[in-house]
Amino acid sequence: MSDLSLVKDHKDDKEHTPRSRRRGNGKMAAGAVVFGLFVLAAVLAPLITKGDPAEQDLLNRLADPSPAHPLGTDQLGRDEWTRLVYAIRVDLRVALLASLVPAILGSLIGIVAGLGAKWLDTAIMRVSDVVVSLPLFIFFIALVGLLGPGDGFLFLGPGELPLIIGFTLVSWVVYARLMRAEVRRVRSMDYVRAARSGGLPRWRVITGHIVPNAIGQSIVYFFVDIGLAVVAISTLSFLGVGIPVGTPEWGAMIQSARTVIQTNWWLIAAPGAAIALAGMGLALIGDGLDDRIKS
Amino acid sequence: MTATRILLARVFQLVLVLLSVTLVVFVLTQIAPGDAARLRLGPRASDEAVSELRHQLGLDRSLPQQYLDYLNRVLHGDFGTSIDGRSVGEIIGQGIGNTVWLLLGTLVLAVSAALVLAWTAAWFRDRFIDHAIRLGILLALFLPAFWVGFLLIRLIAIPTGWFPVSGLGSGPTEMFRSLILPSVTGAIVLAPVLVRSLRSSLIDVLDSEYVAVARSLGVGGSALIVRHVLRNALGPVLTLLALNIGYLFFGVVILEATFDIPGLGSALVEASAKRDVYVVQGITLVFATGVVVANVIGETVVSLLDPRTVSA
Amino acid sequence: MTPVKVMAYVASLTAAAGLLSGCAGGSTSAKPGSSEPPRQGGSATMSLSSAIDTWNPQEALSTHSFSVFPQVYASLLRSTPDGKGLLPALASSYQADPVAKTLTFTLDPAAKFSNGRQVTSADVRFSEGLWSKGKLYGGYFSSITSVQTPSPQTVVFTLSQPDETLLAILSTANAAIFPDNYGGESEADFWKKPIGAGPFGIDNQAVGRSISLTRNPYYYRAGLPHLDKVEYKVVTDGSQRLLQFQNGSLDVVNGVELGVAAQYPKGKVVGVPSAGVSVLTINTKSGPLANVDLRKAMAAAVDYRKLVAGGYAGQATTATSLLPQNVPGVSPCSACTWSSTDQAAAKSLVAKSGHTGQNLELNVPSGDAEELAAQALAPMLAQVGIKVTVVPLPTATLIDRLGKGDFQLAMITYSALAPSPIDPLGFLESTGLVFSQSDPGPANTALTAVHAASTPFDVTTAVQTFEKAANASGAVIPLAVPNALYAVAGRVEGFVPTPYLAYCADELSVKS
Repeated sequence: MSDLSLVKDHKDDKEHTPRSRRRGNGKMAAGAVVFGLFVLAAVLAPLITKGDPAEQDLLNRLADPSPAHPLGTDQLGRDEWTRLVYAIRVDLRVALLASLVPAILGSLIGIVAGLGAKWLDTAIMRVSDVVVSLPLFIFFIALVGLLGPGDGFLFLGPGELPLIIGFTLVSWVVYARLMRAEVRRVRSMDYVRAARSGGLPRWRVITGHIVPNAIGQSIVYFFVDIGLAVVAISTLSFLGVGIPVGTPEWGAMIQSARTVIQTNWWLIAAPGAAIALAGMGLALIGDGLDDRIKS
Repeated sequence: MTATRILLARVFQLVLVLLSVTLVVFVLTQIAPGDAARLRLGPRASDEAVSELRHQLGLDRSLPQQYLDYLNRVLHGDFGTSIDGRSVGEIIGQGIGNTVWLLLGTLVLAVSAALVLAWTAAWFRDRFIDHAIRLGILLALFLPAFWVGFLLIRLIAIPTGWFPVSGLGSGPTEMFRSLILPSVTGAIVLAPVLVRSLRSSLIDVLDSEYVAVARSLGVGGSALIVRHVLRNALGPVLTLLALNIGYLFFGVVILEATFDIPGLGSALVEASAKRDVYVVQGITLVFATGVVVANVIGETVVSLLDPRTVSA
Repeated sequence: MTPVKVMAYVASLTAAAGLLSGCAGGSTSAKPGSSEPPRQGGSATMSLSSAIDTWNPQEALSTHSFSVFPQVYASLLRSTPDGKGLLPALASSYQADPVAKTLTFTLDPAAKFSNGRQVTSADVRFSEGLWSKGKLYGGYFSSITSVQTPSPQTVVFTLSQPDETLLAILSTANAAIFPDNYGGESEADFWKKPIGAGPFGIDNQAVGRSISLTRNPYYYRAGLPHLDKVEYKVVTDGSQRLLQFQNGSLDVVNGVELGVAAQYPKGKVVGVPSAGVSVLTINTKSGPLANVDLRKAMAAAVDYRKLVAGGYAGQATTATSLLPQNVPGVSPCSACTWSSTDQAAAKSLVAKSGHTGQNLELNVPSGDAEELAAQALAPMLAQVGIKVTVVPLPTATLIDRLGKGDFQLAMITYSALAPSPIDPLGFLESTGLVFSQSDPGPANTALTAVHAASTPFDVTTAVQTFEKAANASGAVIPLAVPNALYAVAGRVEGFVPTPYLAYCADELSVKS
């Protein structure tokens, strides 16, 4: 995601106190519990569900919730709870990759911009200016739509590679800008000057002193980014772009259940709540981390 | 720098960005897998027919030449034709009005809601209500717009019958009625993005001496404060909106798909499912141009509003 | 029928096309027991799930177009609501002379176009010229060798052979009557806003979104139509159609999605088995699918009973023939293996075919019955080792791809256009068995036989021979016969569902 306004909130800087550090811990704990539950459910999926999200019971369509089917069944008689849990594996895996790749790429570009030659910095910043001033998600629909889902790739399912490529093109800018700003701030700090004048080789200074101290904000944003990616991925599959129909994926589940919104509303409510909860858990972790770093 | 020079600089910048936009949009056609002519004619078409169409579409020329051809066509208002033979310009013309109305509705509601929330948070800074608003806003960022839309349809529109659940009514009144629910949905999703930064800039304003003096006047001062704060908040709001206009456009695409509103967004989604390259290209260009123009207008207005920029 | 008048590349979805243009008549409009006559005036709004593709019936590919045509166009004859009988329309009577091989029509003096001009024999002659020139449906009229106009009220078709099938065809929108020489307009201008002799005239239209029709005051059926206005609104999404029906912005939903039918308010959905067949069509020129054993394995792998119950939401019946069973002359193919399941056989056929298990793409029209059905079908195929990915496409794109042969597997519903096997056979022949790129020979043989048939038995025999050949090729697998479903609001009266997904709205009325 390229939502810069989420990242920079300078006013917060002045206010951070030990109290906000405690609050940060509280938020992190809450976020970690929520997010932890999702991860746990994904890992234990075969134990806590029927085991096969694709298994159909065509003679038992749109069943109401019951002990056998805690969330009922969908239009093809598939167990909704099983699909909901297995969808964590799809949504979180793709969201993680769709944030990790641009995080690494963007951060490296940011370091180069912050520490490299002036002209390089200028060039990178001009490119990023143009990129942020474009309607990236519109391009995204166009790009992923035109590329088509394609086949799976290594451990990725069909449709996942174009998504990750798209997110990388969109998100690297945020990380590059964050990292550049932080690197420039840290570069002029006393301990870095000391390390440099102490005769440490340049790369040791960078990897040992500058990067570790500059990476905080990027990590904070990384957590928020995964959450936003979950929302974006499910939104795109709702629009029919990205992950193909039939995959247990939250957005696709809502898309296929929308015709039964009046009678089987829980088929829409549950996956949507899962998207929002997963995102909120990650946001709380990020926000708590932010409070701690700043205080 | 004078206002004229600022304007000139902006225009120059606008042209540069617009050029890069056309370049990106042009590249879109190139990444679509398969040969455009072959896609149009199908695998059973003869090689001669395909190469003739390639020639007609100018696909047999070098890439830079194709880009210049494209620029030239766009400057003459020719966006090509869709797979089913309709003019892309006509498709855009049909949808753009609805999209603009939806955009305006969302903007008005989102900005009003964001102002109220941000003001409340700023006024009660660091008290419980501030923390509650900020936490709520943080979490609201992760509500998927289409899901919120469905919830509103299921919980409000269907039981009450106050709003048309979907589609766009004909005639101004019906159209207005059908745009309410989508705009509310849009506002719920967009407002949180604005509140955070807006709160910060409102705090700046509230901390100013002007407000301190006005506060000392008691009740009579609050009207002054409201005016002062609103005037000073206008700049940040515009900047923020300009910064988030791309995000807003994406939101409008989702709203159109959720509420079945025949605009540019639903046309884009449909064309992208059809892999209808020229339609995708045309609509993307319109959205991109919209973003760029909105940015330039936003920046220009902000810098003209603020006397410091002009004198600097 | 002369061989292949229809050009090979044409993506005719006569298929999805359906229909009887003829304004279905009878005295069905008055409810039994209700003494009140239908109210004159008022307007009704109807949904189209996709925009019409053209106003020209000779070029129309989409079902939706054919569902609008009966409101605007009239033909010489019309058919009864069940599609089995014929009634007079613009022609008040006709005489067939088997010896002279002529068909003589006497035009109704009340027959007028919506601009008030009298319908004359010159208009019929002009229109026949358009019909037989038609690339898609011209073949239906191949037995007409000439048209004479002895008087303004009389028109004589001379035939190359007695043709039992022609009268049924003359009741469809494919045989609509247009003003001679396009009423003086250019061809291009005429088709933008054509004039016909149907119950309504075109008022205005927003291409791709809505069509507004107003009452034709000169309509040949006295006192009809009841309605002043008919509005067509394009609503592509099935759930949106449901919502708009519920809040009263739609009075009639044409072609309710099977999976959504149960969501409609009780008693508002009416349906009849359609004149369509939902088929799996296999591109026999595409890689592994060229192998007949693999194709037959697919047919044997499907559990048809479960597919109908789940995939088609119980709103369909199993198919026992490739041709639509509503069509007179078509009966279940007893010698065929349609709709029979044998998983073990399917597995050994897959093994025999040497299929390596690569992924195949199955295209379905998005928003139609097939989208859900395909997802029910995929795991059945996977169980015998055939992996498919379901890819929904907008209907227009799917038709386009099918016509170009640019697909591997696809599911669509193709519908009969008229109550005669000529129509579905003609479609199968001109599309190489629903675009499967297979030999149209058997269909062509059957067509010739049906055209020349002198008894119903001859027709049945020809159809059965064709069914067996189609069954053996494994290129097209009939999966189910979906119901034709309509949702009708309580204020609408006089609605009679037809199997052909098209009906004439002349007898519809609305309560005030």
